[in-house]
Amino acid sequence: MPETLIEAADVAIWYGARRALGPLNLTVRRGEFWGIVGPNGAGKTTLLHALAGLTPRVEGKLAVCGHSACAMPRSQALRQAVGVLLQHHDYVPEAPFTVEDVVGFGRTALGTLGRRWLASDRDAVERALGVLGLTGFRTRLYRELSGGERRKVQIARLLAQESELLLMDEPVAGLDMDWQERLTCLAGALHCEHGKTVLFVTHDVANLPGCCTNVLLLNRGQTFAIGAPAEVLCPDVLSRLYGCPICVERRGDRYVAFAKPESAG
Amino acid sequence: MSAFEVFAPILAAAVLGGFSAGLLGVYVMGLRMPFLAVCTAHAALAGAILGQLAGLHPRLGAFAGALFGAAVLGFVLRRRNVDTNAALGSLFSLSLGVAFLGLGLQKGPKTPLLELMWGSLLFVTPQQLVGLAIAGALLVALSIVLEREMKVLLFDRLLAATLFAEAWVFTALLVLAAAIITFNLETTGGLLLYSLICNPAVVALKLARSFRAAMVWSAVLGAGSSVAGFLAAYMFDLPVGACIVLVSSLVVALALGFRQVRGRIHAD
Repeated sequence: MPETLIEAADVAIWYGARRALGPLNLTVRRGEFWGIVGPNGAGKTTLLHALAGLTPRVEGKLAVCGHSACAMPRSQALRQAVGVLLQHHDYVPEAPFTVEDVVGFGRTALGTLGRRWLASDRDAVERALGVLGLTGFRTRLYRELSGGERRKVQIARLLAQESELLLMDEPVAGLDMDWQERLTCLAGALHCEHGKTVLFVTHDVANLPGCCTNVLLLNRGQTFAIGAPAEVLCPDVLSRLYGCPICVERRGDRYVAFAKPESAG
Repeated sequence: MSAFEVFAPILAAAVLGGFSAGLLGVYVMGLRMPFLAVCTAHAALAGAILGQLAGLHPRLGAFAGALFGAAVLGFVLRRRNVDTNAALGSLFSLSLGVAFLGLGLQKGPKTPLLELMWGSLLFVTPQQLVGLAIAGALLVALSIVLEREMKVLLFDRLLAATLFAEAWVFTALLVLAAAIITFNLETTGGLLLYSLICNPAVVALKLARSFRAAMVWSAVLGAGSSVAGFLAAYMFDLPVGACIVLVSSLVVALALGFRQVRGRIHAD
């Protein structure tokens, strides 16, 4: 596995006549934790989809884990190297998938279609269930879980895939504060304890774990600011990004940003 | 001719057709494409009519039409921003237009072609039985060999695309669906087949506690509805296709009722 996991040079993505992303340059090295932050429509999900090889046409040069994410069809090696946590799952609510099924989905990225299920697959699923404390949930139906529990199962699926690079699209969106905090800690643990390189998309900088090493602020598909959290997550940069006065507070190794009430001047 | 010789092929067609339609239904409903059966049936009808105009056997034309429809759908739906039901609706309209144009150009009686839409279990031929058996066996094989990939596909097509070549799996499923629908056309009929695909799967997905159980339940309920529908039609001298559909609808009603009662008992 190369030291540089993502190398994007002048990457641009077009939706018809509209440029949704780029030109964008980005270098992500192994062991980094990137927070991707920006307002709605900034191109965060578009960037993640391009990195996951889900975008049919990508201009420029985009290499992920040593594999081109521009070439079609995508290589299976790229799929195996990149674990993706999608923001939404468009699944049929009645489908009777167990927790063990969903965690095992991660193993379909390894090898060819229809390959036999090996002991290593069972071990990887067991480990992932164990790490996430889901061993007792294995036969529970995914449809019967809460939103937070479902995200946890999806993170276990990422672990079972055993890919080094994890792309997490709004993993805490729509969850209550307890689950937001739990999953933020979990994302941090994936990086600190399991050595994963993580790209974490969020609207709220408070959801970035303390181990976040780099932040990319996106606006209208382009890089607005890039650098260490201390350099980028400051009031003047965020105020310019969101077009309103933003306060930033440091709480331990985390940041909390909120719009300043107009009456406060 | 003995009663066995009369009834054996009919019951075999009912079992094979119901089994394969029920199994296919889990995928069709899981992919939220219940309209697929009607759409493919009309593509098959258009193919049969055009095939006959070109001097081909209607069954061959029907199969070619259904395969063409599946290939077009597979190609269009590779773009994930295309709405599935919009694509099915457009293909349905196109097939219907082509079918009616072909019917207008057809000289002589049109009844044999229109029978494709209604089907007849009573006049099933050995070739149809073989076709049904092969298509069903292929779907079972696909379900076993690609069990995990199929599950991911049903769970989320976008997630599947991040994990493996989902377009190939999706297209293979559509092609097999075309084969099963074509072979069922002449026995159950295109319109009634819609119910036989959807109803058992609705029940199975609601009641089963695992995906494999849902597959088995759906296939068994499909076969059971077909046989029970045929027997009801025979006993009360009613149209076979309509009885099959009504029995499968009754199964849905009973299953949903059972689920509600079970829910109340658990709540108490």
